[in-house]
Amino acid sequence: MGAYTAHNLGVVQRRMGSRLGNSGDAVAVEIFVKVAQSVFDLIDAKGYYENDTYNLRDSIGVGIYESGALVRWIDNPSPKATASKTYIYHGQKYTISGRDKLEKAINNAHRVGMGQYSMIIFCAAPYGFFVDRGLGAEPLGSGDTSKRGYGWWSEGLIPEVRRTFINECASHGLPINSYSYR
Amino acid sequence: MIELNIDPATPLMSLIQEKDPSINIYVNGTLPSTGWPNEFITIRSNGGVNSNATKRGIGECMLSVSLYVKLNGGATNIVKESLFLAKIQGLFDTPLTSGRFSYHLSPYPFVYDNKSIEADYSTKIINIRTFINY
Repeated sequence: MGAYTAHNLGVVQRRMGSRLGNSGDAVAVEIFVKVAQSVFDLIDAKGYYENDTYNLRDSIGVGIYESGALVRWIDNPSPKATASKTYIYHGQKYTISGRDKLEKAINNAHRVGMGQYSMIIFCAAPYGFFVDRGLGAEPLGSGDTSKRGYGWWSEGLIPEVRRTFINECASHGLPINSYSYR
Repeated sequence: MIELNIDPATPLMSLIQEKDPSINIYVNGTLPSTGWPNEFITIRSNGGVNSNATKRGIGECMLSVSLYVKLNGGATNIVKESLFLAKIQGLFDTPLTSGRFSYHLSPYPFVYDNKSIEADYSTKIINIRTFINY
């Protein structure tokens, strides 16, 4: 075997190894899966907002991506909302649908700027943002700002998930500067 | 270059139905809103099509194949799910190709395995790596 052939064979094998899965890939996915599962534990343990129907809670799902393709979808392992999972918001009837959430994760995830591995937390209930900004209300959309949960996402869940991510990286002996988050 | 409207999902549907014409398959978001069969498959693109070449080369994309099986009294019908999965697994015992498409089970195939995606159905989602000769 010539030197160039041997060199090229080595390159191909390394690239195939990186594409077909190696221990590095497994660790990255393992870290993200643990962090994703912590999202649901945090929501229940921290009481970022007070649940009325549990629809907001059950509307959250987590997608883990490799090179822009969804490789894991994680839903709340113990959904609590009513069977119909429907609610009225601004006079319109909505349904919390797992398939809608999943299809958004597959089709519409913002892939520009994704790293080799990325994790996105989805909140399908449209009023989640309003609750976070202190605009949520009961009945929803009525202008009553007494809905509990100001900052539940931006100042509660997301910073906590980041801390969990950093801790998971550290527990695997990975320097955090190998990763980025935003 | 790879056509912008390339469709690797429909040839995969045809390959599966060649092996078992009884399987109901919906590609690229054609699932009707009602009247679903007890078992069915949906196939859709998962992520973009990638290539390192601009003229001729090998492109690659991921297809997500979702297997839905009707629940049995609220519980997952494990027997039917296993049979269904075995049919899919069997497809890859020999090279699975159609024209310029070559299909392979992803090294970590399971994206999701539970019953909260759709009421009355359990769902298994697997990723199929697809290579495109262009």
